[in-house]
Amino acid sequence: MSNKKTFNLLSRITFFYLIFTLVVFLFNAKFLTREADEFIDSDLNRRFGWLEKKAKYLLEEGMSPDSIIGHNITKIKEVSKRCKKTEYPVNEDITVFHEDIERNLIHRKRISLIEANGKIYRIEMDREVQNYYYFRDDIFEYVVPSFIVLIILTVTFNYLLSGYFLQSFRRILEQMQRFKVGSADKIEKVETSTSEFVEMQNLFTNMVKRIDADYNHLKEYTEDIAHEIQTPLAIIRNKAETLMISEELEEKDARVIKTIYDEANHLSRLGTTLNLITKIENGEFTDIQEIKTEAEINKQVEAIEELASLKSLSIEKNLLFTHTLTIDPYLFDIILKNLLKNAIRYGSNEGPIKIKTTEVSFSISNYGAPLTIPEDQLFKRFIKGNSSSQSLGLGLALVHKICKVSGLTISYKYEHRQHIFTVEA
Amino acid sequence: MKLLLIEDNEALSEGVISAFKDQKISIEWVSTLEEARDKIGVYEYDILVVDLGLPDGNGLDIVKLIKQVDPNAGVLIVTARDSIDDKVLGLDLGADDYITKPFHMAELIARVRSLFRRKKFKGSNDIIIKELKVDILSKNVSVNNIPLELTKKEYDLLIYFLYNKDKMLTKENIAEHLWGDHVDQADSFDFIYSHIKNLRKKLQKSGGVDRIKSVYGMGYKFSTSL
Repeated sequence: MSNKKTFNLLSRITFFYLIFTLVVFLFNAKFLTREADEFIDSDLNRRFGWLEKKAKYLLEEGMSPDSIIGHNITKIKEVSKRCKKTEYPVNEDITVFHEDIERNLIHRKRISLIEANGKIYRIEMDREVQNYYYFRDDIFEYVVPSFIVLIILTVTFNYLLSGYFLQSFRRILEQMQRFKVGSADKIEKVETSTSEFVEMQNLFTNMVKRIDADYNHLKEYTEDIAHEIQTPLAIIRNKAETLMISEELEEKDARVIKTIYDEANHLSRLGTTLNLITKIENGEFTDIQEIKTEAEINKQVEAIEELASLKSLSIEKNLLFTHTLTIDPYLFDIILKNLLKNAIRYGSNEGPIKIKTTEVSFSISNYGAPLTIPEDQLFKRFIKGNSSSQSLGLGLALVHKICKVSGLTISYKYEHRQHIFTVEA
Repeated sequence: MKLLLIEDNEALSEGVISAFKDQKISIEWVSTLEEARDKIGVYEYDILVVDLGLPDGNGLDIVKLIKQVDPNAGVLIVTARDSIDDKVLGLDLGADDYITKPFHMAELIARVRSLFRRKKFKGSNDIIIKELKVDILSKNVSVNNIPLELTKKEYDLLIYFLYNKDKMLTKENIAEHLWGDHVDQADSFDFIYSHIKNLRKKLQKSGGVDRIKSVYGMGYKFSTSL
């Protein structure tokens, strides 16, 4: 598993949803602002147009230009007929200081040309538009708080609803976690109307059925193999034994029979051990508990000490009372037995076999010449340090497998002429 | 000692029967649960050797039955399935011991004899062969009434020989009996040799006859007929 930080799905969706909403809001605001601008412009155009008409009418009625100044018309004067008509009308926003309220306000100013009585007048009009702009800017000012309110509401609802909607999801997850191959526990159905969860649950149920079926086939197969092969092997062995006892047997024939007997033995042990590995792989050892290793190690060492001494090997223990491992005790027994057996088989008597436990680790070491096989092959099946040996070549593979299914790590190193195996949680 | 073997494999049963007959132990054989029920209903047996995987059912049914009919009978379960659950269940039901296939005939004989002695406490607990006498209860061994000091392994080895007298025991038999699955055979021969050497020495020292014969370097035999 990667250590990447994870987020729950709903928060992630919410986050993207909110970003999307923000974009929509901003576009919306932009659109509304443009609409407002258009409205302001068209309204002003209408008003200025009306003023122009009024001025033209008054001029044609014979009023002097000066007399119509006021009422939004700030300047009017006659210009030459040759002036550039295409430059008009001119629109611009100006700031005008209002003395009565002591503030600057924005005004829209328009300069245009009007024709009256055959003369051309340049007329300047302006109108206060500050309120329009206030209105326009309000649109943006409205977007931000309303977006914040939306965030708060969405997050709260998500929080409240996720508990409700994801309840069945959590229960399905819980079941997945509890599911153990080969256990008789039935998977209870979680009632949910969310189609994804229904689908997931169906998938899970089908998967469990398939796994259970596969598992049972495999289990049946190994048990059958155990039965159907071990029985003939037992017969071969017993018959060979009977022959071996026979008085008339020539020594030459006895050797042949002994070979048959030995090979039958070998096959039988091989079958038993492979069987055991399969069972371990199948997770049939589930009596997992925290065991104090000290007592176990003492027990095993006592059982095997004599064998070691017959090979002039001594066993040196350096055990910590508090060292524990979480594992099926039967499997720990197998680990110990195999590592000890290994140490005795390959140990040389230049030094003792050392068993050491610390707070966090457990190690067995023996003296001996360096490995003749590559180090990374050590835990593979049917790898033997000494090909002439009758060893099955499964001991370390077995230990490795057990460590793997029990969540322990086993490591090997060669240091100061010692082979050291270390098991750590 | 009367024995009932409940085992469906004919060839294996043949081997077991002849091995027990060689040891002068009377043995009867049935191959199904049905026959076993009939036999138990009519006769009394000291020891039942029960295979669990039978054609018409699980041998555990017989274990249950015999414990109701004759609680004194010793029950030895033979299983190939090697499943811990089966063993535990069998022992819970009242079986006395179990042995997994493939077993050594000598081991089966030793287990049956030891079970028999355990069950029939009142009978003689001494094994006497000429000058050699072993009290199973107190684990005292004497030759010509001179007590012998044996180590635990030497004692176990001697009993194993006595339980399988006049039968050749292969080195594999002996190694497995003494150390169980602590050793792989190839490594254990030297160990056996030194134990046998010591045992011989101790037996001879007190004037005993050397009855332990080696056979072609394949195994050893405790001979009573010397």
